Amino acid sequence: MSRRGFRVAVGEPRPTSAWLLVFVATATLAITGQLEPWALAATGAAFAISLWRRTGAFAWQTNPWLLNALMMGITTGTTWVALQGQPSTVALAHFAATTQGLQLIDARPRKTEFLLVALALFQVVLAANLTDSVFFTPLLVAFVFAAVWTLVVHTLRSEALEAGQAREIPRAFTPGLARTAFAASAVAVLLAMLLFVALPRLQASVVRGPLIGGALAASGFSDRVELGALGRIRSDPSVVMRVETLEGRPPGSAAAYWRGLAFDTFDGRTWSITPPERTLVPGSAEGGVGLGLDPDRYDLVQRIVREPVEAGVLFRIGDPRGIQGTIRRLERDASGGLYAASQADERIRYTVRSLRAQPDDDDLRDDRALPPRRGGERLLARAPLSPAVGRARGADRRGREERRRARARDRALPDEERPLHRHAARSAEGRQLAARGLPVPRARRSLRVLRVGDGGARARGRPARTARERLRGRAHQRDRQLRRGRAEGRARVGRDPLRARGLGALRPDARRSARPRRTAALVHGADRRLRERARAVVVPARRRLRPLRPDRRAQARLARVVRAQLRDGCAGSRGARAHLALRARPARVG
Amino acid sequence: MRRWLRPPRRLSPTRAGWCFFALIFGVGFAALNTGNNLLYLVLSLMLAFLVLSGVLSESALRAIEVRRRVPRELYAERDAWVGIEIYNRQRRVVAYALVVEDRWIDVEGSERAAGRCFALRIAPEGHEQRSYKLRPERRGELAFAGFVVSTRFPFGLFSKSRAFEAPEHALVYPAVDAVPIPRNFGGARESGETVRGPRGAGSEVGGVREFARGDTPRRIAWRASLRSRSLWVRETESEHQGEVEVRLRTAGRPADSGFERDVRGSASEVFALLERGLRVGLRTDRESLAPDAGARQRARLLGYLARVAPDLR
Repeated sequence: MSRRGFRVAVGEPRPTSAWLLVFVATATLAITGQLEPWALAATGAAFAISLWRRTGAFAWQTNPWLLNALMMGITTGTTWVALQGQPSTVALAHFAATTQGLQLIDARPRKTEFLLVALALFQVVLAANLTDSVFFTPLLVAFVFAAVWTLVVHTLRSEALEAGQAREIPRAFTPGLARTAFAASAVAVLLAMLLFVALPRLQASVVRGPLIGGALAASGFSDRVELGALGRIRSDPSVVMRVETLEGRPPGSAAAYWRGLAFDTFDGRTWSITPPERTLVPGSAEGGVGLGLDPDRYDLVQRIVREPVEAGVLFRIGDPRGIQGTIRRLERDASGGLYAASQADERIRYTVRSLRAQPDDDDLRDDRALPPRRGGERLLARAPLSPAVGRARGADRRGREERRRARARDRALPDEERPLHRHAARSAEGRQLAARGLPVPRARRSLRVLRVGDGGARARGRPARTARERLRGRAHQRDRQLRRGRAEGRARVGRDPLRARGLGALRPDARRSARPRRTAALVHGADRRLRERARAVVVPARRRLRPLRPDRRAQARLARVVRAQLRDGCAGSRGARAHLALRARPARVG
Repeated sequence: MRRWLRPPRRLSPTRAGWCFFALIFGVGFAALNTGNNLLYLVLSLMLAFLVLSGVLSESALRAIEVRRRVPRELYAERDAWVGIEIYNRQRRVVAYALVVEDRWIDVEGSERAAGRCFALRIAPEGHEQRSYKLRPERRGELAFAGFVVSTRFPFGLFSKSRAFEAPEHALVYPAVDAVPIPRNFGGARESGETVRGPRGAGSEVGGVREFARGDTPRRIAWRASLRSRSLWVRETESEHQGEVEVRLRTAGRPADSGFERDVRGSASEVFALLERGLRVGLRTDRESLAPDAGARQRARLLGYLARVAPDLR
């Protein structure tokens, strides 16, 4: 005989705590303000009828056809809510609330009460996602007590029935059991608080979407706003405050802005108030306290009844000059926001005197006043950017450099196929630049460029011979320029002729090959070594303007490097060989 | 070794428990996905529920003791009631919804549930008596292994169980059928043969003796018992006080259903003849048990028949 499931159907009335459980769970959903009136009415009617006929149900309450028809009605209603454009969680809230009512109506013998508890739990979970109300936590605690008692009662009852000892059931329900259940609930709440603190807060945001949604955030007032956590924002219809103008002209609808929270810092994800600490406003707000430098100058007096809001903020229009109300401890933040500390969950009535005359944009533009001495640097400082933004900018800059190089290479190759007089014009332009003391990028070509450019041209699928001939022509032109003066030639060669053109072609073409970054780094290192070696060999050669004997060790080292590059396939083989040959014969340069 | 390797408690989720686990994972995932503090709060409460369930079920099982009361005579294929006494040794905590499963070892050597009983509430330092119906399938030794006490208290999410070792052996007599004893039967009888023996039934009072295990309460001599402050029973004897010897052939027989049938028949005759008040003996090819009367003789003869095996020589 297996005991792995509830086998005995319990036909007796549910314990009264089941109704308490349902009431609490439905109340958690009701305080969200998201349930349509028909859903609330249906649930309320089911609740009342089932409680009224708890011990003597109507015949239709056990009719499966009718119950199934009601279930279909609930499904239709839920679908209708979803089709109205409501978030999926709101539609599910309707489903859970009305199904819970149907579950209460259903008077057929049941094998378990867990379905009732699970539905109630589902309602609580949905409510947790839909509300920021301060009433949620007390309702959750009440839910724990009701759920514990309901489950205990049902477990004992079903166990006794399964064992055929129905007569013993009343013997088990003693005040001692109630005390045990009460203590267990209290322990569960305490334990939950500990676990709540201890649980690591992670936010994966794995599943998002219009239907599934991330967190469904509500508009409201809290100490911080996390933009990254928002999926969709639903409007919170609960009343925040009631305002009555006692003195002065009531503001028009376009100008009716009551200021409460003003976030001044955004760290890339969260808006918050810095510094977060608040200062106590001296004096008793209950007796009336003046604010600002000129408390007697005001043009508007309003009486405001503020409902409980999470941040405990006090709203007002314009610049507050005085406040009086049921505020035990009045605090002010760095942005001038007023708070009733520790009264976030209370309704507060206060009268605030304000000066509405606010400087317009021109006044603010002309205002050259110095920032306040205390905390003024905060007003002038630019908001710090998150490290992620810095990284993104760096990546963008690197990308731009890569693009610039690629574009330069692009410009170089089509030029080879253009008539030579264009190069001459360029040369003239280069001369003009040189005359103005600016660097001359186009003139820095040599035979090395020719050889390496040959490989680059081949890699791009262009006729290598054409490119080589034209480059050679330009190289001769360049060589003539070099011979014009030792100093000028040394300066140009020593600057970076090879970096600009020659060895750049050895690098893998970023647009054509998706080489791993490691290979690119290796090639870059080889490129740098080649360039240093070339300087060491070529510059003295040019300085002397006489043939040089080849540097055998440098040749061997370069040959190794280029072979490695050939193995890696980072350059066209013929181009690389030409490069190798060039390095092996530096004497020909002079 | 097996005893040492056995976990002190076993926990198996019910269907509702699996649903609860699924809910926990669902809420945990939602909390992780959204970072919503209230969802974390609900998740914490659900985890606290789990912990609480474990603590309360442990309190129900912690100081429980179980004892078994096996009936004096167990017959194969006949119902008997095995008594179970459940003690709660805790001073303050009530034990709820305890299911005690008595386990015995079958012929193949594996443990099986012999029966089960339930106690809804056991008060602190109190005890409850329950019983279950046992119907042994065959004659011979019956080995009880121990108890498994389980509870689904408090929420019905898990069934937590605790094993107790309580080895005990009981002897199951062969199945006994009603045997019509003819008024004129012979003094010796072999199974399947004609009965010969003294006539008459045991209705004459032959004296009193001390109460022995198996004696029927109807024969208690209350006056003598009150005088001596111990139980005495009236001994009856047949008008003719004849002796009957039941013979059972055991030599050269296989241990098959035929042999079992003869054992059953012998036991039935022994039982019926002793009930008649005759002095009954038993002779097999190997042993001979002297004739005697009364409950003690019945236990002796039926006990022998419970263990008897064919003599293969």
